[in-house]
Amino acid sequence: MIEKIKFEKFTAFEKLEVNFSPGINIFIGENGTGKTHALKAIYSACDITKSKKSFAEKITKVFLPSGEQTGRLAKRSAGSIQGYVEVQRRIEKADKSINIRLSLSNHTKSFENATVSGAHKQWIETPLESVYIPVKDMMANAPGFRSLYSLRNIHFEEVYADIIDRVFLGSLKGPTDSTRKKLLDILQQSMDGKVVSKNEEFFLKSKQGDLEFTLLAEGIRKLALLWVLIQNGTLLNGSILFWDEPETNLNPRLMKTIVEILIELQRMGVQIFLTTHDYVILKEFDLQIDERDEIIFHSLYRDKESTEICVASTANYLDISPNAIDDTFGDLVEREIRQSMGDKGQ
Amino acid sequence: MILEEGTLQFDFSDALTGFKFDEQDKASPNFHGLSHCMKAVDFVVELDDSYLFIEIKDYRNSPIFSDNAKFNGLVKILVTKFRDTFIYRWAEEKTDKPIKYLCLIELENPMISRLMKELKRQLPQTTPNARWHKPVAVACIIANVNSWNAVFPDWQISRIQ
Repeated sequence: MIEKIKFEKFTAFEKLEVNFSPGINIFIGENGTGKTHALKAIYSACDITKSKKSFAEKITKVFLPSGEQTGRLAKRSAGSIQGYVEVQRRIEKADKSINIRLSLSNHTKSFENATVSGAHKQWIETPLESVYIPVKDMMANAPGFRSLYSLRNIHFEEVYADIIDRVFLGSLKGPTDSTRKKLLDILQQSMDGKVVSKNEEFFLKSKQGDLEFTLLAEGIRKLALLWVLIQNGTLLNGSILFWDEPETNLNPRLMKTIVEILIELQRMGVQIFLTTHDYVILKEFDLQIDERDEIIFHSLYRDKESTEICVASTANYLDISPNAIDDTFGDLVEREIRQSMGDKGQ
Repeated sequence: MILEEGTLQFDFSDALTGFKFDEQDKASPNFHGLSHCMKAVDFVVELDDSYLFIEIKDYRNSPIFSDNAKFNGLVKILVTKFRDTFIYRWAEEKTDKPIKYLCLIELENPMISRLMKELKRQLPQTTPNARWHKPVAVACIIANVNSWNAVFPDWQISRIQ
């Protein structure tokens, strides 16, 4: 389980520390407040426990700065900049928390020159199953993508290659336990079929036959992706799920299902990190959680005076402040009232 | 003109008159007296060129709108209150200026947006075939305290303990 992240002079962050819920963590905030950066940094720290890459290399591949110059991840300002990102996780078996830190300067040419410190050995030795779902769907584009990516012929953030790898993991042996079966059933009902793959190509298998993913609505592809990740055992007790803007291309009616699945995964022991700009997603969580659930809303915003990024975290939906999503609707409401009322009351 | 409802205090700085329309105090000259058969908005405020009908629902921290039935129920209540108040004011011969309906409902902004759309649909401002020669309400809006204070700087609301 990931407990905390700290940034100093790293990408968009001057200085920021965020403490996480062992259950669901939802990042909201306007564009450019670092929601995706936070997700990518935590994901990189999780992935290296399986891929055994160095933290510096993984972060560089995931953020993909120009020319893969790791130093370009230092926060931009005049002069020489030293920055770091530090992630803290809980090792339940050992009953202790450990940290890993990547330090860099704006002069760091490549990941080999960056410094990784903290309990690096123990971090790598204790595997953590994690998956990052990027904004753009990749399943329809899976055929051939992996081989092209491994030949380094295409310029893609590594999260896009990683998600395809996770999808192609073999399915779990043995019978599916009842919780997972319940989740798979919910998804199958919503998408009216299940997913099969042939030679790196995915199809939705339904009564009508096999439909290739390129012909499926993007929203259905998202459900299918979740189906595969649950079915093949990527999302199990102890796994960590990162999802950048689940609402993208999703019909609002499907959001209820998505949120239901996410809450159930959390109850199974999956730690979840997601970003959203969407009122319906946020409200669905508010309506569907109960006292069993652990959820924290993290609102990232720019301080009015310093203009630096700050965070306000709360477990209570009504206490989210600032709330960029609500403010957007507030602006619409005010403009509609002004249109009706003219200059009355002013 | 200061008017109070629950813990909310309204200051209508440019009002000619204003009073609690659903007054339950028999000793008051504004005693409503027909509460057994008619719904009523909370305040009526007179400006130089219009009347404001004002209805207040303070749903802070209430999960009331988690289902559509309650949501539609609220819109119906708002419509009925307007209509009954309109009839009452017509009988008083106090419909000589255009009427604006202002509902202060303490809900989050996306809900306000949805509610305003539905209220405008259910409280029609004109007829589709142009039979009406004037609207029953020239404006019909819903605001929460934050948006109210943002758009009506001269009619500020504050919370009193």
